[in-house]
Amino acid sequence: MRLQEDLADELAATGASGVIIDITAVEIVDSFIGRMLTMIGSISRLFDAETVIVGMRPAVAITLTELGLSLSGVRTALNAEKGLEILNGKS
Amino acid sequence: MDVGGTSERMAEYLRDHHDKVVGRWSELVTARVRGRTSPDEVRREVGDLYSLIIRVLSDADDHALGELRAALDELSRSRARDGFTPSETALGVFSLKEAVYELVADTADLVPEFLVFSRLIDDLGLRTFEAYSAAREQIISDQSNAMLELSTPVVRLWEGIIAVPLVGTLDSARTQLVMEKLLDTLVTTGADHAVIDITGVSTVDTEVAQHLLKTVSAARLLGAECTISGIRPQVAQTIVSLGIEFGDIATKATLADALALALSQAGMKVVPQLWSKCRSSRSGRRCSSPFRSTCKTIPSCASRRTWPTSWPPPGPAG
Repeated sequence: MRLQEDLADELAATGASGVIIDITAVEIVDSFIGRMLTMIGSISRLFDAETVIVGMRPAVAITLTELGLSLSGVRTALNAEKGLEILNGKS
Repeated sequence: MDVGGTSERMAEYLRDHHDKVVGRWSELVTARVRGRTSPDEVRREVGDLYSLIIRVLSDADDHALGELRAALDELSRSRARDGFTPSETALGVFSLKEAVYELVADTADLVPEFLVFSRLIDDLGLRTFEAYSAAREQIISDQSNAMLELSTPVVRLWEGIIAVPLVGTLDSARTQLVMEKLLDTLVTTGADHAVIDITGVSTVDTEVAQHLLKTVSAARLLGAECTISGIRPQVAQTIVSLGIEFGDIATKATLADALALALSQAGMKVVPQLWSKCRSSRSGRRCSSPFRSTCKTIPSCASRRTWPTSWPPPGPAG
């Protein structure tokens, strides 16, 4: 929740065109985190910024799939480097 | 098991008649195995078991029963491997009763002792059954594990492109394994394109399709684009008649098509590589390659406009 507010404030202030969320350190996810990530994607789209989630672990990906969350509306990449490539390729 | 020292008396009796009983027991077992095990081998096994049974009956120590069971388990396992049926193994144990009964039949005063002994032998016979089925189950589970391991390779097709050729049937357990291996490989190789080849999958029903979709969406979460390839005509018909939607997942008829798609998405193109040896422009000969018209390696090559006269091309001029 704090993250969402901070992100919205920051996006409004800087007018950034891309958001990278690195979740390498996240080992356990639940449906709440999945929903939160989708919401962050929607919020940043309102500021015309694209969200890329990077560094997801295989176990996390399997859990999210089993929960039926495909994180529509956000892009995903293997690592921060590839995430940046996606953002740069778009802009 | 012990009532008023009956089992001790039985142990005493068995010890006294050791050679006779072991001899008769071996004979009975040898007759049953019909030459699949040598008589000496049988005699050794029988002798070991016999002394363990005496130790159990005489209550000499607590470990005897455990040892006897372990020896019996080992025996049943080796018999199972040699192709004996569990009944044969159990009957081999039961024939000890027969051997002893032939001796005790004359002496009426040993009846309670024989009953105690008989109960022990029954337990042991049943134990061989248990050990046999446990050994068989172990073999079966080992084999299915081996099959699971064998059937899920993840291969690297190109820099950044990996493929999973699926063979056989797709159930939940295998999908889980495939998914884990695919995702691990995606992470370790840093690939951004995965091809799932289902040429070897015999049937595709809604459940299999569901598993495929799950695998694809998990791979997408790692930022990899997935293509499903190897869809045979019958499979395509089944998929359509079942109303399965693959959505925006790219599907291709063959692995080659999927590879071409993946390469083009990665911004690569495969061109015939002939021109490193092209000497036509230097030698002044006419170029004879059938790919001459697409040659971009040596733009200045004048022979690009001419047609081949022979193939393979003439060797380089000295």
